[in-house]
Amino acid sequence: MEFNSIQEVLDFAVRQEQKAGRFYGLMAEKSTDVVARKFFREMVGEERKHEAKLKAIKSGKLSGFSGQGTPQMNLTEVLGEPVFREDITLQEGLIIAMRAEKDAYEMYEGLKAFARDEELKKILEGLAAEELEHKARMESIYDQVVQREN
Amino acid sequence: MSLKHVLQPFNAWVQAFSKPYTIPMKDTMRPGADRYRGWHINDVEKCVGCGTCADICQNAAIDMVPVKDPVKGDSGLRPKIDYGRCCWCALCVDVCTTGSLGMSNEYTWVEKDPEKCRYTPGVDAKPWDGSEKGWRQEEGFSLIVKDRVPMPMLDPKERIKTWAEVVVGYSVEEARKEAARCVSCGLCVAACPAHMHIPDYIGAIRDGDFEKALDFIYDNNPMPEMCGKVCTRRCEGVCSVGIQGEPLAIRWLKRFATEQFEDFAKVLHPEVKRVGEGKKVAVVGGGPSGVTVAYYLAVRGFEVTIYEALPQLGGATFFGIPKYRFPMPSLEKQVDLLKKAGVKIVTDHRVEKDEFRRLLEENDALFFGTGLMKPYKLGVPGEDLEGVIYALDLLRDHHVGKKVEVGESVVVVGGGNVAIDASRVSRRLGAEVTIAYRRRREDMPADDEEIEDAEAEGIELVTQSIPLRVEKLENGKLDFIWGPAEMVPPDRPGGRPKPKLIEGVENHLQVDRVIVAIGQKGEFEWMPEEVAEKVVTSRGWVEVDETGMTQWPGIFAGGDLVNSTADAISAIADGLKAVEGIQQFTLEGLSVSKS
Repeated sequence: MEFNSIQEVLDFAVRQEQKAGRFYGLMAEKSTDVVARKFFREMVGEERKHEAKLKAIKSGKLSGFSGQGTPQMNLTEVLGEPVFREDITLQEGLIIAMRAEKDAYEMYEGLKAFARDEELKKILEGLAAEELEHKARMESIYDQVVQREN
Repeated sequence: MSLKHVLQPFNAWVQAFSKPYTIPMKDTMRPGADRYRGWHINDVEKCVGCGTCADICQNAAIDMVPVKDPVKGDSGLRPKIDYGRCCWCALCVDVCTTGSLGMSNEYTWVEKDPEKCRYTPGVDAKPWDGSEKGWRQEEGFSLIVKDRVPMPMLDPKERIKTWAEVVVGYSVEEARKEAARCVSCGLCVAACPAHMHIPDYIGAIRDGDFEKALDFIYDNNPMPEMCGKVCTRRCEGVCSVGIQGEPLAIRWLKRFATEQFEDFAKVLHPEVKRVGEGKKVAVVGGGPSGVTVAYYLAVRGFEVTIYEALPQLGGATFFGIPKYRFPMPSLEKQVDLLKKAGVKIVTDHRVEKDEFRRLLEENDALFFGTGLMKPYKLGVPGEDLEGVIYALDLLRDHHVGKKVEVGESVVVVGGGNVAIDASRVSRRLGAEVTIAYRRRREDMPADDEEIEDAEAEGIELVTQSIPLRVEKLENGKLDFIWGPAEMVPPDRPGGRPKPKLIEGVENHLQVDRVIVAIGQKGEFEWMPEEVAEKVVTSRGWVEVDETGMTQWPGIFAGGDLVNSTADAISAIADGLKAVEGIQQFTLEGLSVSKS
């Protein structure tokens, strides 16, 4: 994959967020577990927020990414790989979300190799950092909700 | 009388022109002795506003005045001294629970305005604030009795061979002696989620009036024998006596008071206002929150029915807490009183969707407190292997008398009270037990005392260990593989530090069982969709407003599903809140604001 401009990269990132939003929307529709369903709906909202942020950067309303630097726990790396079922639980939903954020981070990290100039590389780094932040946030939620006594 | 005698007094005027014999006052005062009892000083940061100084003052020279917002363990009050009354006896200093109050060795202070002779040491600045000299509590001497009356307990080596209660209990003499240590500051009342009348019942125990103590206790806790044995005792964490000594054994004293009576109904004198007659309330779930709602509504005249899925009321305190901490007769006594109060109890009965809808129609209000009955899974590869079990299942099966086998060695994953209970039960079943916890020992949510007891029973604690996977070995055992963790700062100040896996290192532990106790969750399959959709959050909690009511008018909730602490006393506090909320809703028809 090759990008010729920052606009192209941001358009791609917006499409990725839209795709993720549709994915969570579908899971919310199919889930029978009320908690998981509500979580997926919340994730749809989250992805919309990410999309809006990217669009704001693209239009110049936001100057760049501003990650909070949430410490990583590397939880995603040790947890299993649940697959979607209708009776999926919040715990499995959280792991899926953590993995999706990790995959997105790795994708942007990988795309850096194809960046033609420093500006493009910088924006891909920003996108990767943003996804890493999302992953850390999901891990924090998992830690607070699932691992409450651990 | 001669002329000489008449004129003699006027001779004295001659002295008016002579040098006076008085001694002029020196510019500098003689300093007070090193331990002089002069004007008060107070380290207001160390002071917790317990008011013990004001209580002991024989001249009522001390008022406790607000200087900041109260927080748990600090009333926000500080002593203000009236020097028109103070006799400088220093009893206030000698009794100070924190050692913050002292007296400088300064003794002169002149003010024209007598009002200024009342000040709050440490708050109203005075020249002697930094005084090093003066009266302080002597090292090793205090009017407070700092040492707790020890609780007799079974020897760790002996107790792992039995299911007998570990804690023996106080004798009358021991209980009264322990109760006499209380300074009645009341900081504990604010810290207790149910705001129990702690100084009152401790005072009654001290005076030997155990019936009165029970009356105080039952005023806002319908499961006091349970709390007397297993409460998380946040009250003791703020006990002012505990600042320089050991906190009052509040939990053990409550236990003592309840153990004095076989039948609570014979000795309790509840104030009964049967305001709820003609109103019906259904309670789904017979845990501490449900029992609280049922009992206090019943004594107010409401017609209450509890529906419980298990064979006995008590919720997690019934199936989750092992007998050596909370034996069945203790629970049965409390349930018995509930029955005598007129509560209808339906056990072994799981309410399902259609019945829930019917209950909603047939009752004036419905309360549910169905708790966190399902375990979270370990989430790592191998967790579905035979031999990986859940602490909740182990505890429940053991409690209802099912045969439970854990083999020779187990690892329990988790650091809460459920993990500790599962560990100690496994130990009593004959296994060597290791607890694997992701964080540090000081981060463990389990009660400190429970952790110490577990260690005394030979249970090993491996902290900062992150489960990686579980594998089946050829010898039939399980290989519990874990990695070490380093701690990274929490997301927010005051939060839990977070464990981060140090990659590339694997440790192995061969065991017969991996017992998972990382956390529990609520279950909502029994609840009608339209209700669940409205009351359950995306994290699996139930949101209620300040009266305990959910987003669905007339449906109230409480207990572990609602509060973040997931302990019995918080569930009781939720129940108390809902009692008032249900009364308001059913009798006054109040439309309650949503949180």
